[in-house]
Amino acid sequence: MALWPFDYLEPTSPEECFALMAEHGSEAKLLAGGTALMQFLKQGLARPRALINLKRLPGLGGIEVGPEGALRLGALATHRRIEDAPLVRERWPMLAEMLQLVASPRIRNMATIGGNLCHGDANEDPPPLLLALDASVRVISRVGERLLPVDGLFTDFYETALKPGELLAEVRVPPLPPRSGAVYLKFAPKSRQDFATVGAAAFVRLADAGRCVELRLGLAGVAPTPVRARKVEAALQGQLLSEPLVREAAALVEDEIDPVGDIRGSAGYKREMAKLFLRRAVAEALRRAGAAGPGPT
Amino acid sequence: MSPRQKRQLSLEVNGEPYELLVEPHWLLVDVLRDQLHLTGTKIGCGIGVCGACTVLVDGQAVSSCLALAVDAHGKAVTTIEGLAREGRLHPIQQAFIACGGFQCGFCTPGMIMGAKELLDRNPAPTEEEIRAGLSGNLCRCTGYVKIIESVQVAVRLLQEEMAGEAGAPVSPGPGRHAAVGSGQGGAR
Ligand SMILES: Cc1cc2nc3c(=O)[nH]c(=O)nc-3n(C[C@H](O)[C@H](O)[C@H](O)COP(=O)(O)OP(=O)(O)OC[C@H]3O[C@@H](n4cnc5c(N)ncnc54)[C@H](O)[C@@H]3O)c2cc1C
Ligand code: FES
Ligand code: FES
Repeated sequence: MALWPFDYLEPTSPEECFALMAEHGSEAKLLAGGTALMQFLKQGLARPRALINLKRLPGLGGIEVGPEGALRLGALATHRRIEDAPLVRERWPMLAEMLQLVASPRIRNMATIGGNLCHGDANEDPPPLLLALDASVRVISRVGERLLPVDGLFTDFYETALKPGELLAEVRVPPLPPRSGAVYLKFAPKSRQDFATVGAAAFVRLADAGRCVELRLGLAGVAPTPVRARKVEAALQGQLLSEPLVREAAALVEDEIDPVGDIRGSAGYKREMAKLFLRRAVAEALRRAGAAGPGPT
Repeated sequence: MSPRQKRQLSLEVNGEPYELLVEPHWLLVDVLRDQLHLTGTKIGCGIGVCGACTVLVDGQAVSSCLALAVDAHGKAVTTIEGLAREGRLHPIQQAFIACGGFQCGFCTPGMIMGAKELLDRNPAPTEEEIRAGLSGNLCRCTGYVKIIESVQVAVRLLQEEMAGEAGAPVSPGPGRHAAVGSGQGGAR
């Protein structure tokens, strides 16, 4: 499977990169880990005249905590480096757990978190959890930078809110407050390295009386983009989360998703699995929230 | 469209330095196979799924079917041909032979390179960890049971090799492959 020829550009500074992006415009594609882009090139879905390799850009691979306490993941950090990082394992363990469910070790060695988000594939695992954790991305360009919530990054099938000339530089994940819990559940019955039939993430934060004061739910595999289950969230916000209540609320996801039947399941099956895995994710996040703090006396 | 320039590619393959001229769109797997004639690395799916093309780049397993050769500039690549030492097969290779860890052999180079990375990271994996570590390496022949066994035996051979190097007594190690372990693992 040979590739169509292209020029290969390797900027070593952001300024040089922005200049090349401006010069080549839509004729050029950015290359990070290449695991998604190479598929597009091989299948002829993209035929760029030039590839701009981002991997020689300095300062885009960090894994650290910012002054505001948020985890900062450089766009070029690979899935594997993030899942291995002691900082992530200790303070954002749900993130490391989720990354271990992505593809195979080999692909995780290559694939970057920035590439994952910019690919904009609704079946990918990181987006639902990043939605639930209220993460944001820092986007840089010739004219400056902007912070964009991940909730708003995905605009359509393989489309993101990044504008021409913009580069995703960093993902920021807020710290987990006391008495909160989060989890991502991947339902991939065919094989471990497959994409999810449905993926569901939940974040919950409890008040002293055990009421849920903050809750966000993210889903993969059920719409043209990764989605928040806002109706379900609204039905659970401020409530004491009993099993029957969660069951009733999860059914509301019906109106918020539009799955397509494929090799991983029919549309109807995915609808049912979305409800089921939302319920399970909420239950597990609740369990973790309870275990994390001292709990009511 | 400007004629595309070949680019200088400096890399190390199996410990040997190479200076090559490559076109930007050439894949690492093709350069290994067609330029360097290292045909142990196979091409199965070409899309990152099967693992037949697995090589190590700076010690990390990657799909060489998804990697551009130019991207390996300045790096150290290890292929299946690079595992044997002084004519002696690597303990993982020995284990695959002893356990019948392959039939047609097409998946084997990738499987062994995947196992190499796995054991470099985790010298004593559980069966579950072996399964997870090799989850992206597909085999159409064996049904995987013998592959998992091979990796388990490789773990023991590597431990024995280390113990042998340290001058410690080599444990016989129970199980049906004990003869393999004590027969080859301790000898240098
Ligand atoms: C066999 C296989 C199995 C997989 N299974 C899973 C799975 O189970 N779960 C899952 O979540 N994913 C899975 N994936 C998808 C994988 O996660 C993505 O391919 C990967 O994350 C993309 O990252 P990359 O660094 O390789 O991006 P690239 O392929 O380099 O780039 C992807 C896109 O993003 C753009 N881009 C990259 N970086 C930036 C940046 N910093 N700023 C702006 N644009 C950028 C590129 O131009 C390109 O359009 C699988 C992939 C393969 C090949
Ligand atoms: S040929 Fe590269 S993973 Fe299948
Ligand atoms: S031995 Fe034939 S594919 Fe694995």
